[in-house]
Amino acid sequence: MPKTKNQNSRKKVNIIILIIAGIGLLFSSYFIYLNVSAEMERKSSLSRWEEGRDAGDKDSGDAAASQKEAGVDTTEGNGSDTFYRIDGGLDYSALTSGDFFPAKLTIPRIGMELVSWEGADPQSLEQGPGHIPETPLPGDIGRCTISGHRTTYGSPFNRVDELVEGDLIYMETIKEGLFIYTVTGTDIVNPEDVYILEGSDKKELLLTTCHPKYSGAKRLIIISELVNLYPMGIDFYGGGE
Amino acid sequence: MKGKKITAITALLVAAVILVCIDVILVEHGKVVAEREAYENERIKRELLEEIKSEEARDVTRYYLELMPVRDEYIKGAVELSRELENEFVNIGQVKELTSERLDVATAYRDKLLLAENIPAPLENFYNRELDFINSDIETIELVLSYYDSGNYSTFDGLKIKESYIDTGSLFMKAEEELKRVIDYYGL
Repeated sequence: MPKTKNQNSRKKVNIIILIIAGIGLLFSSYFIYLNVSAEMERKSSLSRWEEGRDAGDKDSGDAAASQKEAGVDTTEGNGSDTFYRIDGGLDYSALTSGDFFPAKLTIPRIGMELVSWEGADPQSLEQGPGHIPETPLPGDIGRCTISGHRTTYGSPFNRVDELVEGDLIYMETIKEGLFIYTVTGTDIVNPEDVYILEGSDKKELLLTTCHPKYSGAKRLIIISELVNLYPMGIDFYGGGE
Repeated sequence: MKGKKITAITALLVAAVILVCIDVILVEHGKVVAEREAYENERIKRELLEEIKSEEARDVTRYYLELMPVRDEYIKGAVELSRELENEFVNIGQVKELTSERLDVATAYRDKLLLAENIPAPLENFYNRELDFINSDIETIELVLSYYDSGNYSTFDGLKIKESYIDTGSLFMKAEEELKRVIDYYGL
């Protein structure tokens, strides 16, 4: 029995639906693949970074031990990075991004823990959030800016919109120690509004990502400021236990 | 006549010798008596001192036993709170809370110190130093709290806080040294 026109068109529709579903499946698989591999990469780069830090700690520990033997006081700044972070100051004229990055970025509010790199071009951002080279280095005056993907490549900044004022962001560097920032505000701007990266007399850290989710129409900006967390123990005063 | 003369001279000589001997005996006796008196006085003095010292030691021990648990409680509380600060926090509000708790611990210790009465003389120096320290400790924490409340974290002039930390550390060491001196002296 010859097929009717209706049957033919239904078959065509089915084929189109099948093709669309296939393409959708391919895309989803691709995104899943990207996110899974990015997550694996995040974990592996984090563990590599921590190994590097521990090796660095061991080296600096050995160096401190030999300095102690030589009668050099190594106590200042040791374990009190946050205390001296703002007031002690760093000579930024002698420092480069290599002294800070890769750095470990931790945001307890959203359970985020990853490595951020130097460079924010598309290729660099595939391996994780990156520091925009034109912006200041961590701890310096101005707006040190880290850019990251919101929904792809492991979605590192997927939940940064959940941050609220006062939330803490920890940036740990291997050579220059720990920088702690506290969130002071958020902003949503157009991608071309690069003015947001400039003009601050404070020591700030900006996290930027696409907004809203699954769209590159706007940029979500998390603004945070460097903060000292002061130790308060008697042991810090040099006695106690 | 000549025999009489010799007898008189002999008698005079004997008398002179006797007088010299008496004098020597008297002087020596005086010395012995003086020595005895001095020894006795020394013994009485020593006993008195021992008595005073043991009385002092009792007072010092009593105060020391009263003070030490309070002081240990303060130090333990301060160290524990400071250790907690080494953890990662979600929000700076938690850090402010911990700092306020630390202020409460220091204020409670100062209040207890101020309530103290009849501080034994050997511990007065320590007591004053300890008060200087705890006042400086409280001042430091208040400065830190004012920093957190300023909302002006990276441009805040932290020099005063830093100096306050150094001063407090130095006062703490002075109080510790004085306490150690008293402990060693009275074998506490």
